[in-house]
Parts: sequence; C-alpha cells; structure tokens
Amino acid sequence: MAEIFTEIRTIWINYSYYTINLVLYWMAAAWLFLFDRNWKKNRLLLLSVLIPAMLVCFQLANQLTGGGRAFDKLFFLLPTMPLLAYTGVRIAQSGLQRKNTWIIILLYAIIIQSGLGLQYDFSVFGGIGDSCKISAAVARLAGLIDGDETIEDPFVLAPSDIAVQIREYDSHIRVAYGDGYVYEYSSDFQDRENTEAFIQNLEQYGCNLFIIPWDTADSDAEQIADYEQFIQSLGYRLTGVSDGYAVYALCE
Amino acid sequence: MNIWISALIVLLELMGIPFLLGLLWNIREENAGISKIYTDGYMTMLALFWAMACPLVFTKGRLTVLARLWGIASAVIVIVCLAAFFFCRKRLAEKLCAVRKSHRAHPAEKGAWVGLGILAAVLLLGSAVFAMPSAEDDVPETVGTAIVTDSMYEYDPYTQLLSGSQADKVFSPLEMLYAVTALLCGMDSTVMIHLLLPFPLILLYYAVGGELSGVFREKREARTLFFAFWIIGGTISYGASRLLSFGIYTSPWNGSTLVTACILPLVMKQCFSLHRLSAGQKKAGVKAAVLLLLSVAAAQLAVPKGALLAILMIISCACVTGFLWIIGRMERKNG
Repeated sequence: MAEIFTEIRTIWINYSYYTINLVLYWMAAAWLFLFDRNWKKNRLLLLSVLIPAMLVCFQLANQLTGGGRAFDKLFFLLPTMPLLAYTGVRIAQSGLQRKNTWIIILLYAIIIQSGLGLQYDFSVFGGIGDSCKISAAVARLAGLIDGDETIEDPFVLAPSDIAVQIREYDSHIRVAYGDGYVYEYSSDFQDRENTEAFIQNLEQYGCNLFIIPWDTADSDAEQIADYEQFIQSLGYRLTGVSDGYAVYALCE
Repeated sequence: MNIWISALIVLLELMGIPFLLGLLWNIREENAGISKIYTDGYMTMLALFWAMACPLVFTKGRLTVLARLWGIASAVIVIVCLAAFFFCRKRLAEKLCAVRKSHRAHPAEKGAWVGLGILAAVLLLGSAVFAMPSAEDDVPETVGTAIVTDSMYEYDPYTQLLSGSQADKVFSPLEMLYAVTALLCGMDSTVMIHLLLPFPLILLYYAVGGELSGVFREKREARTLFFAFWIIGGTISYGASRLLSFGIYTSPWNGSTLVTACILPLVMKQCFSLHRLSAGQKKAGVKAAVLLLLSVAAAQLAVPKGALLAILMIISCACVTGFLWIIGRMERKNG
C-alpha cells in the first residue's frame, strides 16, 4: 500500500514540477479556509478540495487495478487559475487601503511566477522577426533543402529541435521524428564508426537527407575534406552548410 | 489572396461568428454582458464544428469536403443571425445599448480599467508577436499535414506516413477547425496559427475571466480585481512551457490549453449558475442546460476524453451544491 501512495505522490510532484507549483494552489485554499469567515459556503474552496480528493481516488483505483500510467488529463480539472484569482481578490480586500491594491497585484504576480522557481528561458520572447515564429537558422536550412531540385519528397533526419521547426516551417519536408526515430550523431570528425551507425539508422528509416552539426573550428581543412569524402563514399553529397549545420542528401 | 484580406477572414470566422451566435443566444437576456455573449457564442461554434467534423473524420473523409461544408455552414450561420437581428432590430438596438451601458466604467474605476486594458492588450500583443510556442505543441504540424495530404489524422504529423498515431483525435478534431479556416482564407497555416489565433482565443480567455468575475456580483471593484488577477495568472505560461495546460499566452490554440484555461472554468461557472435559477425560470433553465451541453461538446472537440472531463466537473459542482444544500437544511433545522 505504501508503494501505491509513493507512486501517487510522484505523479503529483511531477505535475507540480512541470507546471505551476501546486504549493501555491494549497496556500490559496488554506488562506481561504483560515481567513474566509464563510468558508463553509464557499463553493470554489469546496470544489478546490473535492477535485484533488477525486483525483487521488481515481489514481488509487488506477494503481490498484495495475493500470500503469494514470490519466494525466484529470489534472486539467484543478481550478488553479480561478482559485488563485479569487484568493488574490480576497487578500486585496482584507482591510487594505485602496492605493495598495496595485502593489498587492504586483506582489501576487511575483509570488505566482516564483512558484515556478522563476525558471525563465528568454528564448520564449524570440518570436519577432519571422511570421512563422521559426528561428532564422532553421528557415535557412529549410531553404537549402527546398533549393535542391534533385530531391523529390524530402525526408530528413535532423536534431529534434530543428526537425520540429522544419516541419512547422514547410509541410512539404517530412522529418524522421517521434516514436521509433532516434538521432544519435557524434560531431567528432574522427569518429567514423558513429557516422556509419548514424547512416545505417538513416537508411533504416528511409530518409534521403540528414542534417548534422558542422563545427569546423577545431579541425584543419584536410580533416574536413577527408570527412566529406568519407560521407560521399557512403552515398551522400553535401547540399550546403548554414548556421553551424551541414545538409547532406542521398546521391541519385 | 491578399494577406490582409486573409487575416480579416480568419478574424471574422473565429471572432465574428461566435459574436453573432452569442448575440443570438442572449438577445432577450437582460443581464448578458459582452463576455457572456462571446463565451456562449464560442461554445456554440465549437460544438457545431464538432458535430459537423466528427462523422467526416470517422469515415476518413477529405479535408477539402469538410472545408466546403464548414464554409457553407458559416455562411448559413451569418445569414440566419443577420435575418434574426433584422426581425428583432428594435430588441437588438436595446440590447446593444444595454451592453454599452453595463460596460461603462464608474468614474472612480476609470483609471484601473485603463491600466487593465493596457495590460491585457500588451499581454495579447506580446503573445501574438513575441512569444515562441511550446516545443510540446504539435498543432501546426498536424494542420500542415492535413492540408498537404487532404486528409484528417490519417498520416503522422512529422513523417507524413500512414499511421494510427492520432487515432484518439477522431472525436476531438480541433486542429481541423484551424485547417479548414486556413483553407478558406488561403493563408499559410503556421502563420495563421502563430500570429492570428492568439487574438480570438486569448480574448476567449479574457471573456471567461469576465464571466467568472460574476461570482462577486454587484461588487464592481472586486470584479475588476478578479479580472486583473485572472489575466496576470495567464503569464504562468511564460515560465511553464513543458506542459501545455497553462500555455494561454504561448500556445492558446492547443486543445489542452483551451480546455484548462477556458472551457472547464466556464463549465464550472455554468454549473454554479444553474442553482440560482428558481423553479419559475423554466425557459432560462433549459437554455442554461443546453449551453452546458454545448460546452461539454466543445471540451470533447478540444481534447480526447474532454467530454469526460467536463462531465466530471459537472458532477463535482453538483456534489458541492448538494453538500451546501444539506448544510443549509441542517442549519435551518437547528434554528
């Protein structure tokens, strides 16, 4: 039984880790419970306690029946935003002066954000400059593939972040991404075995193009030329190099 | 087609039609504000699309056929709404006047509303222009694949090979709404999703916030505050990009986001509003129940098993209301 509850606890911790920290949710509920005189008649508070209890019941039943993975979408039921906003109003209303309201809103916003550990990745603000919100480097790589008229029905094996964006940018380029597809490539020009294994994977997937990191800073020209020849001997030709990546296509 | 005309068609399709439908629902409603008009209209549009798309997706129909049907349906909706408004033009004028009056800010709150309006507009524009979508979001790929192959969920969105990887989407074809809109307006689907969809969908989030603020009834200041916390709460998505459920400012078009941020809170609000109806308000009760059913259908359109989530929400709200009813009876008994 202890194992089952550990498993359920792990599901909740994982959910908290990947979205908003649920500590905030419980803090808001606790604040209403302690300071709302009419908490017994507060529908939102009762709902915000009932739904987690219901989730635990479902998870328990799931674990007991050996159901494996829980139905994660059940977490969508938690009224997180309504509860946080409602509690925010109650806090602001609790005997504070009107001029302080904006300060409370600001502090509340900071608390909500810090509930995430303030783990910001400022690349989320990088959308401007491209109407598709695709990085310029990926757009150039897609341009290289599109520009090669000898390739019919392009099917590319690329690093996952590039593969996803290429597919978004141009729906005519297929990418080997998702279940059953692995991108394992070592950018060391000396590691020929890895390259051969990579090409074998590529052929198994049926791809006719691949994109590899192309960092030539630590290698001399002879090494690079040698590596290019090696890949050519495996049946692939260089289509182009852009933004630290090389695009190779299957020779006809 | 000119890109501005295409953008206008998208906004008319995804903002104009819900507004017309919502106005039709609420033309005789005394207290319905702009947020109620928009949310009711949106749920109706999503439910109508769900009813139209599911049989076609299930029978592996073509996307272009669905696009034609939805184009015709949209035209019919617009004609029916306009005809209804023509016949009830006096009532419509009164309604619009009442809506305008009800949204006129109290002089003491004008500053707060201006500040909130600016904040809401900045977050909306920031989302449309700057925010990069979550890497977990596969909506643009699914829509692009559907358009290229003229099919619905038959091909893998990345490899474009025949696969059953999206079989669970058969009864929740939200992406096809975007695909048919892109086909009707002749715009690149990724550009449409990333740049234009934040406008109607974040407005839906704001409208749901406006509806939920009704919990404070006549306390206007509290309602304003609730709305402020509601729009600020959405900024969680700028930090939490791993799971999509909080991504209203980063990926508002995603079904998980729509359900968590808009549809389920709205279902909760609709359920809690039902108990306020007295026995004499039979017509209003039927209307509220129909709107609740439409929201269940909208939830199902957005995510697989969405209807189940909405039904669980309804059951939870019913349990809470039942609990309060029992407490009330006990209190009355004890004097």
